[in-house]
Amino acid sequence: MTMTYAIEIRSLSVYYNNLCALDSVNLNVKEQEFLGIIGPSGGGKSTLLKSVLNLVKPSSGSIKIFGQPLRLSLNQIGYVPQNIRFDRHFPINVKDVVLMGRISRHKPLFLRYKQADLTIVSQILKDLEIGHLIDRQIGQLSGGQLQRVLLARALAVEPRILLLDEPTSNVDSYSKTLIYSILKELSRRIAVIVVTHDIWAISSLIDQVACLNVKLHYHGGTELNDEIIQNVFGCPVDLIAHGVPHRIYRAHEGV
Amino acid sequence: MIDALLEYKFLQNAVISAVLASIACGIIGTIVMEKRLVMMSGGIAHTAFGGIGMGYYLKIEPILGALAFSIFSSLTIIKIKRSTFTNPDILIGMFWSLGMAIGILFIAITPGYPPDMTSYLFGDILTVSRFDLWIISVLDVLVIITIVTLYNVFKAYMFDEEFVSVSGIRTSILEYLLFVLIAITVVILIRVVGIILVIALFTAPPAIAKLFTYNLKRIMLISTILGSAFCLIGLWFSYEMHISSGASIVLITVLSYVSISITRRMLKKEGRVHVTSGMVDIAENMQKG
Repeated sequence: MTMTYAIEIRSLSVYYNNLCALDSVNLNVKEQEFLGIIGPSGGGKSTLLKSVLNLVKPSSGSIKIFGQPLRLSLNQIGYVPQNIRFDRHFPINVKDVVLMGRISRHKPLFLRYKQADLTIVSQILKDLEIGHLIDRQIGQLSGGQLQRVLLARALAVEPRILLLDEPTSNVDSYSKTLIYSILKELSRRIAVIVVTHDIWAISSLIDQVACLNVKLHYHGGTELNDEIIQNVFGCPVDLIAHGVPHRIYRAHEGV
Repeated sequence: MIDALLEYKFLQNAVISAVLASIACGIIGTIVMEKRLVMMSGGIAHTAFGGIGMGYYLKIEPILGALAFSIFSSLTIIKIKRSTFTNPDILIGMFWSLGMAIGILFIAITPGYPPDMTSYLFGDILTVSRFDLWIISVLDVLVIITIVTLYNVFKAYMFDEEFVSVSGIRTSILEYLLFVLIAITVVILIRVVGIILVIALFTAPPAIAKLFTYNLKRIMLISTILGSAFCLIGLWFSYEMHISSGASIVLITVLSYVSISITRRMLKKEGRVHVTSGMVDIAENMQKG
């Protein structure tokens, strides 16, 4: 019997007009895997996430979620977008943002959230230490608090796969630590995928790393070698490792 | 004016249409403000002029022609935007002028003495007919039913379209629906303030409401109340001073916005108000602890 992966990507290619964003990417993600996707900007990291979320139509290839076609399995996925793209003046409070995670559980017509939804939401907010902010308008939150709200919304989906796009940009160090410890905890039960350029922050937590620059150059354990990094980034390692290379790469001989 | 109101049918029609228009305008205007679709709404309003011209030419009610044109143009704009990734600003600009041009063309080829278009361009709430009132009521009910049915979905869609799409909801349908609602609301407002003045009534009441609350439902409610107040004050002004009702309504609306903003700014300088907006909600939160 073949194993069913949480995410199974088969020779996925995505073109924007004539620009190739992803070129025949194959990637399997196991059910309890903590995967970090790294790569230079413009390397297709966000495109890969958006393909898995059915926001971008693949030019060729297929994506399966727990063996099922994508359209049928969207309610299994929790998504944390980048926090910078939100209108902070939008008239919505924390509770209503997190309740959005419950939309897929209801029919859209006459959608009214139930007490059960509220119970789940307040529990998640408590776990993320932002229970006291439940009635706060989102403009009155710090970057780290907003990021935790967005994580709470994704968790309200009760997902089996969690996707996060740059979860630590514009976030204070306490929130960063808290978010990653929660992600680590979650990855014992569900698949967690983090897209980031902040590899040194996550290298000690993740099980697997994928290096993406249009093509998938590497997918495996977290000890990378020079050659892969060269291939992916096309630049010296120091540029991306900021002087703490050994947290992610094995110490090289002669250095 | 109160005696006249009891006596004259046309004044009663005017008052009823002002309130009905303000309801649709308060709800949809809030969405337009938050979704930044003000220019889009202006464009849709101006394409409606083509429909009014067509109405005269085909000898049907101009307001029905306006409804057909504005719905058709709003759907076409999204369709083109979605399939070619054209900047919506460019499309709005072209439709804006195209609609006016078609209207002028129809008027020119309509046999006989050219009709007076000023009541459609600048609105004339005192000439709202029984038939207009019927159309406004039906359209108003349509807008209210749609928003009540889909309130939570629309709210989520306005805040984060992508997430709603990921939740398995077809956001393209929501977008089309929203544009039809904008088109409908524009047509409702054409009788009250006219094509050219629609945008002020779309934007000012929600903008004022947002100075006082960060609760979406309350913004819609306050906008509706403010819109009604502006329209009725404008109507009274227009009746007493014998000036165009559209112009007086817009003047009252914009002057109110300006004076309220300035007052708030002055209070803020004196330190009585601490934040720029949402002060009611924040005060409430502080009381809750």
